[in-house]
Amino acid sequence: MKLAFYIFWKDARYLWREIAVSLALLIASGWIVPREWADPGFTHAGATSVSALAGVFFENDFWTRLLLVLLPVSWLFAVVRAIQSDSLVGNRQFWLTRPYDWKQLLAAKCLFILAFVNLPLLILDLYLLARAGFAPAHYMVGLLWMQWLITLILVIPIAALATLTTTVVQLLLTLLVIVLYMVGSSFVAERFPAASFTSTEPLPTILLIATPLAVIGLQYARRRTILSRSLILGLMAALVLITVFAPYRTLISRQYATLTGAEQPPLQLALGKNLGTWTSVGNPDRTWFGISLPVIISRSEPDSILILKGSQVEVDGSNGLHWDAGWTSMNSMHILPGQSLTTVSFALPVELYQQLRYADVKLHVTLAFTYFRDATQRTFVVPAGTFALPEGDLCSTPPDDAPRVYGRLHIITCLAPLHGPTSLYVKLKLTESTCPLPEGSPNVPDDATGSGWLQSSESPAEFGVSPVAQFSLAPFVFSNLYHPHAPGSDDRPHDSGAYASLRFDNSRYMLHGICPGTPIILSNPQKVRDMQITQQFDKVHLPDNGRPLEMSSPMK
Amino acid sequence: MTQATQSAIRTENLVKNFRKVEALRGLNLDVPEGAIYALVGPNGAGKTTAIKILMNIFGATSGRAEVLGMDSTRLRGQLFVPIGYVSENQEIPGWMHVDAFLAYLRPFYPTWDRELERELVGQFDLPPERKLDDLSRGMRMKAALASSLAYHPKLIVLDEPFTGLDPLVRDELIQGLLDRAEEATILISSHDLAEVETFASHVGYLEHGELRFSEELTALVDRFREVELTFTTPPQLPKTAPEGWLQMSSSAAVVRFIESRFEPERTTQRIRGVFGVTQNVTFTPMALRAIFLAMARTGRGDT
Repeated sequence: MKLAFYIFWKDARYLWREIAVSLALLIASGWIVPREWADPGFTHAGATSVSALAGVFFENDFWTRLLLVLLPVSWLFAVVRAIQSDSLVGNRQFWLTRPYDWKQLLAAKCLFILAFVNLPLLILDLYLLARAGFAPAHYMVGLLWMQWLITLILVIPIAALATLTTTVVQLLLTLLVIVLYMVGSSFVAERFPAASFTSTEPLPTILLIATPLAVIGLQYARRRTILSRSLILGLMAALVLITVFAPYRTLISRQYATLTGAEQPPLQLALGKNLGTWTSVGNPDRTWFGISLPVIISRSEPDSILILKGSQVEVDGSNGLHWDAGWTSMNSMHILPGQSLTTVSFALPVELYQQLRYADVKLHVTLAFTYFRDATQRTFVVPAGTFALPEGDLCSTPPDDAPRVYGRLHIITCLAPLHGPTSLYVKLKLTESTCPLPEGSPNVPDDATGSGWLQSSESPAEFGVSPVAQFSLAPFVFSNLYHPHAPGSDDRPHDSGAYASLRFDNSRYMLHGICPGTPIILSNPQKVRDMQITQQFDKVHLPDNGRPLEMSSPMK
Repeated sequence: MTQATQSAIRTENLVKNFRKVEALRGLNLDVPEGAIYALVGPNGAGKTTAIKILMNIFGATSGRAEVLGMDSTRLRGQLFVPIGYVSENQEIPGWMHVDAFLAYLRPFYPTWDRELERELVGQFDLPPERKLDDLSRGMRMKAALASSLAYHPKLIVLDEPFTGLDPLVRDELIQGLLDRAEEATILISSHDLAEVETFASHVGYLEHGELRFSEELTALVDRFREVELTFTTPPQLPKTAPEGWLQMSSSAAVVRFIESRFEPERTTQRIRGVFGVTQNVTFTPMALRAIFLAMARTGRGDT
């Protein structure tokens, strides 16, 4: 082990500039990140014009984000230089014929990573937690988990590439190839919509972890560069092959189990009235016809939450024709309490459509979703200033003179240790809001509510540099109660302390503020299970658009 | 004691192919302990490849090699403690100062001799505070040699150490090497025959991946002679030259050739057997360079 220290010390002296830069960035992060907490209004301010975009560069948020990118980059740069200083590629290195034991050499590089990546990160995290008002000692497991994630996701893959290259430029070119590969494989994945909501784990994760480790081990123990590079190429090929050849239908039926006969379905589906058509590009032959179905969801438990993952539509014509459109992704759409409408899209060949369009058909619509039950509701009256949520997160209402999101909207900003709330649902009765409404605002209905759901990983900590997660509470209102007659007339957010008006998909919605004294309902919806239900709709008439539409490909 | 224990380096049918290129074709090399063995041959003969296999930098395609009694494929880590290796194209950490480089290597060698290190730095006139990158090629080579001598290695392997160096530096390097030659076996590859001739005890000639010969330098020099025969009338040259006679040529009544198996009486008898009576016979000793040129030309088929 003694020799490992000598090699480590040699690297530390050689790379003092890189180390100094990363330490400077670390200190800057420790200084600027807490400042960003103090001015959270900058965090989410949308850049709605060129001047606002330019202004972002001079706001804290820009520098915070930049620093939190540059800091890991500086670490990785130092790690790459340290590994390449005793290069494992080639046959001219002086150390090849010196009493360098490969285990000592590897230990020296691990020591370098521990000393100049993990230790500084740990110190920064301890400082940030303490600065945010959390007792760092309580979160050591989470902090170690963060270290593990940074090492596993960032350091080890880059270290593996560094063992296969001789210069930083060569490594950057390799990274460029990997980025191109990722772009290409995402195009491949798009052709398999089910890939976005089905898991082929644990195989890809095992491969992604094991391959870089194997490359590092192989390079240090044997310097088998060609074999190691082949392993990386093999990994890339294997991941694409898994995407292409995964048995998605089997995986979906395993991951999203069908209810047994004895179980009561937690929801019912109904078909809306106006079936539409949809278009997509890249179908030069125009042989596919896209149809969108408005689907109304009614829940047996109104406060339950659904995350829609995928949908499948089968069509049965009266003349015995059958079409299975296959699974398509629903992009994890959240259906919160109060929401009931969604859209299910599918495509069928134009020739088939022509045969089905004049008669009623039978549709079988299947939804794959994750079901959350909300059972721990409690009311919390928001105090003024800084306060702790029952979950332990530290929140504050902004001072009256502070710049805020969308002008003067009263948003509660919170800091949480290690990660944001695993599952926190916030509900607000608009009539109970203490935020002063502008003069002339219409009365809102008694049952009008705003709601928001915050969700994050259940792991001990999230991947990232800062152990302090920032989130805000601003319930979403699925209508534009205060401007009911002007949808789409004005793209600018209309704001007051009580609400901000937003526009998405040609509809106007609202973000509602939360002012001190307002009672809010908090709860922690718990995941019940992943499941799928199928509902049959008889006598459906397909939309009579008559025009073949463009789409990219048939869906699997 | 067997032959194997007396050899510092021994290879058996060593073959190395780089794709379709045969770099070594069954090399059988034997470097006795204590020898200063010069492995010579033209560029591309396979000298560097052979040395890199010996140092376990490359693996052989087939055959085996032993270094200090160990299989060369096992040579790594601590097993390099008794070995010093210097190569003309070795990458050394150029950002280090000379003294820092030597200080860095010290802990790796239990036998490192600080006094010898100081002596070598002085002898080679190395500037301790200069970065290795800032040194001339010759000085860098001296620094590399100093770092490979300061721990009293049992085996010193030098791959083309004199390439591109001026004569003064060469002499300094050779002197530094010879001063430590008694305690070590030295394998040196070179195509610079003039230097090698001055200090090598053994020599091996490698060509096209094959060892043409390998023997003590004195024996080699003793068995090569330039022979000049003078006749009264132009003689008839034999259709095929007798074995060991190289580059036979005639000009008027004079015949010249190189005898590669020279023994005064035997050679005289063979001349008499081929040509009969000669007016005059002269045997001239050859320099190593001339011997290798003759070998190389014969190998290429030149007459």
